[in-house]
Amino acid sequence: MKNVKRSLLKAVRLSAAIGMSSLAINSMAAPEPIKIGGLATLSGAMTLPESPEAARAVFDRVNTEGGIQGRKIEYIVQDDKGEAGATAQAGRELVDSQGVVAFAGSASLQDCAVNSNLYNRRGVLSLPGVAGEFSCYSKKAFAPVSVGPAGGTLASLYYASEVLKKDRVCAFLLGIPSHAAGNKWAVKQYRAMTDKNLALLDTTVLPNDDMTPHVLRAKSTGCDAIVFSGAEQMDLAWLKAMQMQGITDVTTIFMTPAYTSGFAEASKNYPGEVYANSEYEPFLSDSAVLNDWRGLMKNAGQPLSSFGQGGYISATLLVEALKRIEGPITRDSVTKALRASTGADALTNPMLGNPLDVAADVDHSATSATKFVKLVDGDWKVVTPDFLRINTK
Amino acid sequence: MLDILASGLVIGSAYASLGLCITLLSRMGGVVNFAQTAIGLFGSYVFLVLCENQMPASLAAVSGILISGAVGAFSGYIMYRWFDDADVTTRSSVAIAMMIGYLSIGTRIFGDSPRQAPSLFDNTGFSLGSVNIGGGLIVSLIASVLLASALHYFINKTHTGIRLQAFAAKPTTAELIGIPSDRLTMLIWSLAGAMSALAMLIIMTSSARNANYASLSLLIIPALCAALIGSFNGFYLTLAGGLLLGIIESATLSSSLLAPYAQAIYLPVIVIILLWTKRKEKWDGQRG
Repeated sequence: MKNVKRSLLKAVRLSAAIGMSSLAINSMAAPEPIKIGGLATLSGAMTLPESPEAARAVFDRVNTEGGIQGRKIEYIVQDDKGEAGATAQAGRELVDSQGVVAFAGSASLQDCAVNSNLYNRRGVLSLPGVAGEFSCYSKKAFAPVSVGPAGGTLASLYYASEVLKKDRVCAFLLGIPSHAAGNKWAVKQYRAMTDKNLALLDTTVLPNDDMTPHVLRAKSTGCDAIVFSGAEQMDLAWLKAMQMQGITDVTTIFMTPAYTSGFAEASKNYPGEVYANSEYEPFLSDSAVLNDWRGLMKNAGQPLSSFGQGGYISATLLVEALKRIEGPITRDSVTKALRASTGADALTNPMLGNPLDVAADVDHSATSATKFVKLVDGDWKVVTPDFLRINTK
Repeated sequence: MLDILASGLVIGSAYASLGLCITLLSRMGGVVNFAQTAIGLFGSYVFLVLCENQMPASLAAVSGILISGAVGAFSGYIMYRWFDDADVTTRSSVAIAMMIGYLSIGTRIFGDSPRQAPSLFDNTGFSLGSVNIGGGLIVSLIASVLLASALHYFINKTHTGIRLQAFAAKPTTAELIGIPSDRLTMLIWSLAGAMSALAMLIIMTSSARNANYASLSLLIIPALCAALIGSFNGFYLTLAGGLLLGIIESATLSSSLLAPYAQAIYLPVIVIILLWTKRKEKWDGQRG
């Protein structure tokens, strides 16, 4: 009997000890991570992995340094597969199932068109690293850090006529449907700002075109400068057509996709004057403001690119907004902190020409700040030490 | 007008030379080869990579053509080994699967970093109207015409050509009467592969096209359209079809009203050709 009693006592003590220790384990468990979403095209014909990878590097560093309010950041990236259906599914998964507090480093061509209503209903904001289409700049749930093709086109047209003082400016703009609204907007704003008309506007350039007929139109129009918006390989084909048709004396201005070391190397023997627009502090330059980004990308084993700059800036600005929150970090408090980042409190990064104002009524296409680089002996040289600021208001 | 014609020939010679490869395989291999440009691209990208690694352009070109010939032979082997007795629809479906496979592998291997093709025919060419016709394009035009004539002669006038046609029509019967169908299939696929590599190589070095693996592979659409004009049978008609398509495309691009639809012109062209070529069947059906 005594033995039975002793055994019972032992069992009670043991279970009490187990209970205590599990309580202790619970109280020592790591706090819930802050979930941040990213939506990017990671598979399909054209992939955009650079922006979310750069954002991940920023969040990893924040976690190594102890997180925010002692909480780690969990960065969840979903693939939109370049399809509207997958984009909607990924958006719902991140917002409703994962419960992300905000989006950063997104690089999706459909996100703004497909998920805008969902983000509005759930009160979640996104700071895309690469804004896929023109509507991203006017939809309330999005505050893109990139200038985008429409803003780049307007800046390039302005640069051609007002800075380079070219009289007959021609524009050859990518004719894919998602660019139509942006093209129209850029040309309209250019006319309003300069009171000048383009010598030729061609919005029919498609990725698979032989560029010869387009270049012949430029030749017969007698353009002094050509603004061409297309992907990197299209830009190379354009220069080749200009060379073949003997109009290398015409100045050419490309958008950000041409600003790569590969493009500069591939066109080092081109005899004409070539410029490119850079959405941020030109990443191939030796500017000191690039040091942190460059070092971080090197440590993370990521290539240097303009898309990578977008992802880095987006993540850095979101971290800055998270650090401003004094109470608990929830979706509501993050949205509130981002919305309060306006005017003098707008989020800043030295690689960005303009601070990012995330107030609900801001039209992100209204202002832009970009730099221009010029092709010199197979290398890009910065020709605008200060950002060229465009204000359409 | 002269400008439209000249720039149309520039574009059309590319369509024609690829269309000829498709017509060849259709007549001799009994298949509409949707993978033709993907096979040709393999070799032409090998050419670009070798050129970037300082190999002389002519040697790199030969290597590229041989590689596409080998890829073509491999495709022919698959076709012979497993789809010898299949009908044209099945074989053409296999060709579509091959196209997707080669495109995925090619994009994976060669990536999408920009590549500038070296000029193979510098300092040659002439002006037609205000259009400069480069040496490569003259070569491309001449090559297309020569290819069409050579293929026409080979298929219709030589003993081997006639044997090959017999084989394409009835592979099993041809084998029973002693025609070595496996080797012939591989040979013809290999030849078409090498020819398409040469065509792609001339396009890449001489025309002003976006040298991106995926977008170049889309040249299969106008090439198929050119072959359709020749009813997948006539080499001269395929040649004419390719050049005609180029001229129509150039004319469309020169009109600001029609230019946005330049890449949609294949559809009405295909519909008109089908209506025209099938008109007799329609009347026959009515009579029946």
